Amino acid sequence: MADINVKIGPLVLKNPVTVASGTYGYGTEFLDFYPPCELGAVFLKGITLKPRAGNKPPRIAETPAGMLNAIGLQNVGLEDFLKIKLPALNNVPGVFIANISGDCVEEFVQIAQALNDAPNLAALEVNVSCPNLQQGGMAFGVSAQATEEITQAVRNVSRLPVIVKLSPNVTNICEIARAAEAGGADAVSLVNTFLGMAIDVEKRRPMLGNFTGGLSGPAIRPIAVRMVWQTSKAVKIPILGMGGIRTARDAIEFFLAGATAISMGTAVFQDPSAPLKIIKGIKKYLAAHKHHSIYEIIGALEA
Amino acid sequence: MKQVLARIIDVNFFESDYVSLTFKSPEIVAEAQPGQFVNIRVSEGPHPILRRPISIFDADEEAVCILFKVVGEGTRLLSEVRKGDYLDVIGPIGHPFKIEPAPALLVAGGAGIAPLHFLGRRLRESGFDVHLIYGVRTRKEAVAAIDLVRVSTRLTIVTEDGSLGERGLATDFINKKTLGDRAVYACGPEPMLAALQTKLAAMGKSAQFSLESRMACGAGACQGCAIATQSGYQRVCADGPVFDSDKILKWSDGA
Ligand SMILES: Cc1cc2nc3c(=O)[nH]c(=O)nc-3n(C[C@H](O)[C@H](O)[C@H](O)COP(=O)(O)OP(=O)(O)OC[C@H]3O[C@@H](n4cnc5c(N)ncnc54)[C@H](O)[C@@H]3O)c2cc1C
Ligand SMILES: Cc1cc2nc3c(=O)[nH]c(=O)nc-3n(C[C@H](O)[C@H](O)[C@H](O)COP(=O)(O)O)c2cc1C
Ligand code: FES
Repeated sequence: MADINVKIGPLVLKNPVTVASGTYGYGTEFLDFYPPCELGAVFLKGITLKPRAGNKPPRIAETPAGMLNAIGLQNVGLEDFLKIKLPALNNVPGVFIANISGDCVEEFVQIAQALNDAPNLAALEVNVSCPNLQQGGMAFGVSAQATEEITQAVRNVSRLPVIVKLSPNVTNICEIARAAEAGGADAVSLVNTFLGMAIDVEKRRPMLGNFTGGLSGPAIRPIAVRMVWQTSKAVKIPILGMGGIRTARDAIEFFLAGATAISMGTAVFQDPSAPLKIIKGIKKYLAAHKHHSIYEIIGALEA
Repeated sequence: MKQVLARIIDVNFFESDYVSLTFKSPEIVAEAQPGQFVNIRVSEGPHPILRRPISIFDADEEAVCILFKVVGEGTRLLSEVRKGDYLDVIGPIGHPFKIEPAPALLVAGGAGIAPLHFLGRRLRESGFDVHLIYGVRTRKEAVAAIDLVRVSTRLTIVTEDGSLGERGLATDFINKKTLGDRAVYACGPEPMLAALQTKLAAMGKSAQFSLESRMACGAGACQGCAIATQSGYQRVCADGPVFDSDKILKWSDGA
């Protein structure tokens, strides 16, 4: 059988299928279905230094083959994450990765430092899609300079592999990915959600309490594949690809485009067992095409 | 909470676009309690991607019955399943009603009858007196719940147009006399619950409300189904769907 373990910087995953931050809670919510150690890795809900209340409801709107969300990063904050959420995973085998956000570089640094002592974390994912409050509230991730600065600052203090999660709401994804690489990222993950909006035409009101939200699900997949493909030409570090992956076929599209591993979010809502089905499907595809390793299809797009 | 492929053993269509489905799932039945719901996959393909949350209307030894109103694409797809088909169901989900050792007043509006039907049955089985006030638009809508007499000791049907039972809104029939020392349980559209909340508060009472919210994960993971309560935003799927009426701060529709 083909070898499907992959390397994300120094981190070895037993398979390339992971679940995306914000869609799998703090790692315990889906325990009734299957043990998370069957997944390559679990990206935990994004955390901030202080707890966040989140956005005004409604926070969810379904859209064609996808959904908008405006959760507003509701989370328990660093302290309870360390005191309650991470210890709850102590007896849960699996590869867990923290996802961190902040209003300024200093906050990212403080969180990264505090997480150095967490025993059950395998890596850090740095979410640069959040607004930079010191720079007028524009997302860090739209600026190559800010992305490099944050990456470098986190890299300098963290003992963990650093994955930088890129925002797709940019003109040139390659430029931002190169900035993350220059800052010392071990890998980049993309895409986060696309900024969108939906309106209830009868009520003439926005569907979301926050007016706008992040679009995810199959609707964004072709854009995500394009961005992963472009990024793979721009950087040498591994890419974690995501955006609307629902089936093994979808996942293989991302591998061919250059992703070393993939993540699933919205599709897990439709079917919590979908990641396990995809792992099986990938093995089947590799066998059918007589490959010995998943690496034989990574970036194997033919011109 | 389990994810099961459950075989449909019965389908019934009623007026006003109501449909009832009965599926076999001993796993879900074993844990099911009134107020809990199931989350159902409505399409094989990429759209609609989200499951639809539906309350447990009834459960016997091995089957679960749901009753829903077709209001959009998801419920329309769900109304197309037939006897013998398999349904991908996750459940039971959420905190159930806490059964108070007292006579009960159940207040249902429209499709909100579903969790109260199951509750009424369990209350009756435990020997409690159950007065059910069921508000619907017209006589046609009440047909879906024809067997409500079985789960209540006293049934007051209220129609907006007076075509059956009393005329008015369910909340018009909440007063000192109907309330007595009864424990109150309610489910229905937000305007009804908001009115009931105000009315009960004025009388120094509270109730257990089963709430609805748009959901994504239905498992407590995404924080998408939040409602504003006195203890901050809470998840309808994992912290609810049953909440104490005096804890609810704001209704999402601004009612
Ligand atoms: C815990 C819970 C239990 C429920 N139990 C029942 C039940 O037993 N019987 C029943 O008929 N319905 C029930 N509902 C409501 C049901 O989930 C929605 O009617 C359904 O999801 C609508 O899907 P749709 O695709 O048909 O409509 P859509 O096209 O998605 O929506 C049609 C209309 O319904 C509103 N709506 C959509 N989803 C929800 C939702 N989750 N809650 C409230 N309003 C919504 C939309 O804003 C829109 O106005 C329950 C909801 C929850 C959260
Ligand atoms: C409800 C929800 C919450 C999310 N929360 C976060 C988050 O906290 N941090 C983050 O980096 N990405 C977050 N995301 C983005 C996802 O991790 C993922 O990048 C995106 O949804 C695209 O993948 P998908 O189409 O498979 O869902 C969230 C997505 C959803 C749908
Ligand atoms: S629907 Fe995800 S937390 Fe309730």
